[in-house]
Amino acid sequence: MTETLPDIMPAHVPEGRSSPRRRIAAQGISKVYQTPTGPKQVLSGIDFSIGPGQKLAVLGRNGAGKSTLVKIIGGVERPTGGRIVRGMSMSWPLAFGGGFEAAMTGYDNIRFIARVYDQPFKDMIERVDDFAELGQNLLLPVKYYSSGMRARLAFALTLAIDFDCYLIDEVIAVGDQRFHQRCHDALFRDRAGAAMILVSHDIGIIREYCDTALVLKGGYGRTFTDLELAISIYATL
Amino acid sequence: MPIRFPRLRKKARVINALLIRELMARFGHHNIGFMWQIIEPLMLTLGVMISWSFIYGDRNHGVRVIPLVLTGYTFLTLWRHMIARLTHTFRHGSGLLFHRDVRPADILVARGLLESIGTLISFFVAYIPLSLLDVIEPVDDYLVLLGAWTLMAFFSFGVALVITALAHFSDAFERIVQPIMYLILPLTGVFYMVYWLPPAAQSIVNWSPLVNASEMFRAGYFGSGLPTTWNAAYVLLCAIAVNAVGWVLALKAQQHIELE
Repeated sequence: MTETLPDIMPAHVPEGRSSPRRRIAAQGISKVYQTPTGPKQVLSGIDFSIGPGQKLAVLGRNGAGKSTLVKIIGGVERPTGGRIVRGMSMSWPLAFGGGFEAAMTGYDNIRFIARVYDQPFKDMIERVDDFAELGQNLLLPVKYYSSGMRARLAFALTLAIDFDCYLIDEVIAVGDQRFHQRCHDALFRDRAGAAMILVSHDIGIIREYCDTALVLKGGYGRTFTDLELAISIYATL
Repeated sequence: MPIRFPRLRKKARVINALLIRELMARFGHHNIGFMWQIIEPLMLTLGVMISWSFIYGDRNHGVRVIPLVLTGYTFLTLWRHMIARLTHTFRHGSGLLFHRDVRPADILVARGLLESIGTLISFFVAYIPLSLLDVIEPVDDYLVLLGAWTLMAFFSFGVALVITALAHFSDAFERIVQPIMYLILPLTGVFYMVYWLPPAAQSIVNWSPLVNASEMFRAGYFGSGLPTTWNAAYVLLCAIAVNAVGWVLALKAQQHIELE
């Protein structure tokens, strides 16, 4: 384990008292993959740090290492060098449906997440159902769900737990127009106080909500507090 | 009794969640659900019981065939299923790993527990009616029987860990697991009693922890009426050794998991 701070801290800590420990930080993250054509350096010395309520955009062209960075921040893969400090509770990548068990019903998938994150079943099921609007479909195995239904369930599951920081990987474009709008409201209006790490190509959303940007190029990254500068650099990449 | 260590409690919570998930995923809510975990090995055992009864009649080398098969095949199922179910863990379970508290090791432990307990229940599901009907004699010593089961589960889990980790590092190794499993069947000791063998063969098979465990299991079942050779301490030692190697390899493999 590279973390020195506990993974999960109490979700409801009074706001406005940001101790230096309440941060999510990457310190000198590097990642090398062993491939058949030799080692491939995907990330080199990535640094950033965000506190409660801060919103960080991650910008970069395809292949710049964004997805790898998400996996490392999310704790699925270990960095080859450096470490991630998690002083706040952080969600799994928003709307990530890869953890669904297709043979299990929607309800059982919700119960599984509730068990893992130690949440009361009833509360969790109500919150998910309220947002995903799947109704009776929750009784069906997930394999019968359309991709839109899956996305709704996945989105609702992430939002049913109060995290201090949400990890968002290019998903604002799920579902139909109406759902799209509700996701948008749920994230940026109702959870305006939560910290976010947002990987997106949608400059509009980034410009509107983020206060810092990490621009990735060829595995190297630089953090900008001047968002317009970051966006203009991203545009020239 | 409440567990006080927060990390341990978190592990217990995650493993419990995975156990239930594994059951749900494999058997679902419908029809007989978890009973399949028990019925699968049961069908094999009953089928072999019938065919062996035709081949050998009532007794084989003076030992009653039906309990011989019952003790042998449930044991063999534990060994085979433990290894088969664990081998692909690192590949199939990978989507779960975005939930940070779920580590591959937890998935391995959950599956290992499920196999050990499920197969043991299947033994008793076959045993209880057969003994009530007086087809087989009752268990002689439960302590020895369950001790042997626990040691066997522990040992199999260790071997499964080693295989799982090595299969993760090498595709070639994964392909040779099946033939190896088949070829070492004689060293599992489920098809014979050691005392049937010539002394030279006995001295070889006695090195196999699997033979030791299966002899112990049968000693628990048949009692002192049947000559058995086993050494529980030896099995325990082997189990600790393979688990130690297995955990080191599995933790190493765990760091090399790469998602699509």
